[in-house]
Amino acid sequence: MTNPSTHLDPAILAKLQGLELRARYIVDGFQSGRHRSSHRGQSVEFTEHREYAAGDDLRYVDWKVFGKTDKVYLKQFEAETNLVCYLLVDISESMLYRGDPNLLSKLEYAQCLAAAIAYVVLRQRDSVSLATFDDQLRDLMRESGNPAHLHQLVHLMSQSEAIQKSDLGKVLHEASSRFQRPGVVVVISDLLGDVDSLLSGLKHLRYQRHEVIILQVLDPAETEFRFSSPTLFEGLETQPDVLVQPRAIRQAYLAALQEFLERVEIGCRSLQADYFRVRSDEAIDRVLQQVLGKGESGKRKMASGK
Amino acid sequence: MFFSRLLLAAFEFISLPMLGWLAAGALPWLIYRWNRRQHRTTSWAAVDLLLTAVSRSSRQVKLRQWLLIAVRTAIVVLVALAVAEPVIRRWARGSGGIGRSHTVIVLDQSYSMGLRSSNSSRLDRAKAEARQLVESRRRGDVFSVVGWTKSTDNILGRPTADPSLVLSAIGSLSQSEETADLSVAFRAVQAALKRAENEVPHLDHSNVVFLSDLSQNTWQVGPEVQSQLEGLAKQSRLTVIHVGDDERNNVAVVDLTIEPTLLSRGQKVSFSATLQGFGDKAWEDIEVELSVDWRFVESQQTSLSEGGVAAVRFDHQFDGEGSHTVLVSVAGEVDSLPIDNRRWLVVEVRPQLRVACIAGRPRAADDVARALAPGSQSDDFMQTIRPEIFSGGRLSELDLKHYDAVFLCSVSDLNQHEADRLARFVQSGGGLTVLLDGQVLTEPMGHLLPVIVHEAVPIGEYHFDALEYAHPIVEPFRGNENAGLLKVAVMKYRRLTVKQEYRSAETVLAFGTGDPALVVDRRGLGRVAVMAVPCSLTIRTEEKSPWSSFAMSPSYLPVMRELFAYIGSARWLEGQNLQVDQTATCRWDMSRPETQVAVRMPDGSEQVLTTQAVENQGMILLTDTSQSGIYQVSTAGEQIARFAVNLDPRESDLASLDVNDLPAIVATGSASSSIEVRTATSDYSFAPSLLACAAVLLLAELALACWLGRGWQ
Repeated sequence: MTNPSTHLDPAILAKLQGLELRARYIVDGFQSGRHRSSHRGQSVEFTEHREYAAGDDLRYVDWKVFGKTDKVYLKQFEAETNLVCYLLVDISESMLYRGDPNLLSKLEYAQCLAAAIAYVVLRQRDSVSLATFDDQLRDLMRESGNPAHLHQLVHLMSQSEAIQKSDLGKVLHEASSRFQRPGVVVVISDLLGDVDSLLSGLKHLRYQRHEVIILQVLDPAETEFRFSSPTLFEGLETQPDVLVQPRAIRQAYLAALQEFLERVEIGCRSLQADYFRVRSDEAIDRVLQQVLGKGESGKRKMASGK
Repeated sequence: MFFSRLLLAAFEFISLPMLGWLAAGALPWLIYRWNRRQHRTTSWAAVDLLLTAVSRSSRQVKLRQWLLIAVRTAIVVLVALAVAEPVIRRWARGSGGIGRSHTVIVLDQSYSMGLRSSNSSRLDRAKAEARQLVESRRRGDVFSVVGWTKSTDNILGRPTADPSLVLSAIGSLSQSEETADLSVAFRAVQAALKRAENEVPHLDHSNVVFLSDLSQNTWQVGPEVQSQLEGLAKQSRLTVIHVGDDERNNVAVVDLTIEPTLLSRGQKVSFSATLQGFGDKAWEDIEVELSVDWRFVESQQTSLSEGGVAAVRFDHQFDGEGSHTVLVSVAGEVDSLPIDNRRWLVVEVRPQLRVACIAGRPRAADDVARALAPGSQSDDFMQTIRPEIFSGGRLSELDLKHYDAVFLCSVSDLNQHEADRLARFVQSGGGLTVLLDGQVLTEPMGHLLPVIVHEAVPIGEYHFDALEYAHPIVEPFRGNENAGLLKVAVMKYRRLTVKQEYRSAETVLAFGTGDPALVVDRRGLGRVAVMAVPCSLTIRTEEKSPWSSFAMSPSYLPVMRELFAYIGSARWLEGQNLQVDQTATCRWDMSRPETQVAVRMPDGSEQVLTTQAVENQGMILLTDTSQSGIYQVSTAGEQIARFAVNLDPRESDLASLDVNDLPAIVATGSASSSIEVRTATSDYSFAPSLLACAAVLLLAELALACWLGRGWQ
């Protein structure tokens, strides 16, 4: 069981100052926040006119325009609201892999990422929710904007134990139905599984108007495959053991890995999900700068309401 | 015991068990299998990707792995084969049997083996083959080495398993100038086999290997040889290795004669050298040189057609008395066997030729003496013949060593002492002619003659038959029938029968009845001639008429002259001119104080010989005439004798026996299956090639291993 304090290393937290998680698309929020809302109201910013139709609220008639044109137009407004960030953390057995004893396992790394993102979200007075999963959602902590929620999140992650094989597609489908408010879903996983199922679940999430950020966490050993002597690879998540001469198949493995990663990335992008590939030896602050900075620079207009 | 021997044999270098190391070729595969068991273990999440990679590259990986194993296995196998090459060669030769063997190596040293091609002679190749036989031996194998010449010696003596001794013996064999006798070789082989049987325990089988150029002169197989071959094949495995080549072309000086054969000072002589070409080559402009007493005299050119014969004649006159050496040689290198391109002759020039004519009755020798020295000044040769007539009773007083020939004319009362003296005279090179009439011969005289003398035939009309003028004595009459030899009227003659034990006796002249008229025989260094008619016109008192008109015939004088020249020249013509390996003898005055003489050999070396007494007569016997050339016998600075020794010209014919015919020589029985004939192997050894391939594969293995990303494991 990991030490919760490792996920919130002060040095890392210090580097996360100034980072914000911004929603690119429409989000629903309870509070007045920084994110575009699909709702329009008085406190929101005027954006455009439309012609009056029978039954519209006369409070929004722009009388100045009527006086000038003798035509009745209604004002349209955007409302800023708060964000819900759903953190989906893969706790399946494959996430336990650690190539170098001196490095974090993928799960530990994912937990650090999740904690850091939660910190950023809570600091910007948005809400964050946490769900852990393997072949199904295991633990779900409902969203909250209370800063104290962070510790609960960290504690929950610390208590999670990897037992099963992951089934991300099924989990994303389940999450789609359980995450009621559209928000930003951050999936932190190694995604080692059925790509089609993953994309299917992703598509469902997008259908539910969630923004999705995929953080694929891989160990350097998995990406470089620098094994030399004959090795028995004991499969995690009930997969078979394989005895190979690594150098003989390295090129083929890297080619297969590249194909897999490209397929995942292309699939994610085609569904307008942000995709980031992360190694477990990378500095978390740099990863988050990359992830959250993209969100800042890629900011788009609010889509029309539902 | 067996297993300890097996264990030792397993580590014995160059032996059959080394081939077992071929099993080490399985090591790379075993190491590969063992390595697969030696692995690290790690948990892994992306097993699907791993399986995908394995399935995509499995074929390629397996191919590479097996390629590496194959290369490593090949390296081990090549090294094992290279080390076991002698064993393989032995198997290829079919001598890889089990058990301890005795091998008799018989090396042909006849002078045809000196033919050189590609910077090596046939003997060199035979010795190389013999060395390979020794080097491919198994532990415990023993060898004998026989140097095959006319004398044929077992070089090693006792069979030995020490390869250094065997190789040393093989190396010591040098080119001889002799021919080789097959039956003598078989006897030497049998002796070697018998000795090994007696002295070397636990021999399982024996081999006899003949290394020869299969020259037809050497491999003359008669009934005796065939029988010996069959006998040998029954007890040993026979192998004949043909070390000859296709070269058949050769030129040789095969004969050198002189005319006349008896020489005196100032006499003109003619040398006739016979050259023969062998093979299918014609020879143009061959320069033939004459040297007398080691000084060049003159040269002439001649040509030879394919397989042809040419006679080259040189005229010369000797001014000095005594012994002279004559050499006829072919100038330059005209063929690959120069040793037979020369011939030697030793010529004695006498101040006078003395003949003792012993008359058994008054005037019986007058006609003979007159025929030998007619008093004519026209013939230089006749001028130097000095016949001396003695009565029969004075024979025992004469010092015969001063005479070249003795004519017994109607002598009948020869006693034993006189017969013995005459016998010794002939043995030492003198010529004896017995002219018969009606005398009763004593027993000692009868023993002296090569014929049985019967009673005279009835009076009739008989004539000579020259027997096609085959003999040198009557050969001058060929084409000269007018000389009257065949017209000589003979009324009576003594019937002669050649004794069976005198196989060298020749009938020079016969009668029309077939009875011999003149018989000559070689006896020691000299010759004996018997004439069935008296060569005199005088008759015995009891006779009524002469037996023949021979003494009146114009042919009488030349016959007597030729007869004298023939019997008188034997001492030096044949006694001093020999073939290689014939014993040279000369008389020695036993009254001299010296007991040893020095012999200067043709190669310049010297030998010391001890004089001997043979039948109460002093003799010098020189048995080592293995070199061709001039041998000079001297003592205290005085030259005693000279000998010219020449090659046997039969060996100059390089035609060889067909290899495939050899087993057919053995007519019947299981012997034929025991004889193996093969040609000499080349000097090529495949071991260096195998090792070179192994080295290349080793480099290839390193490259492959790097390519696959691992080294030796």
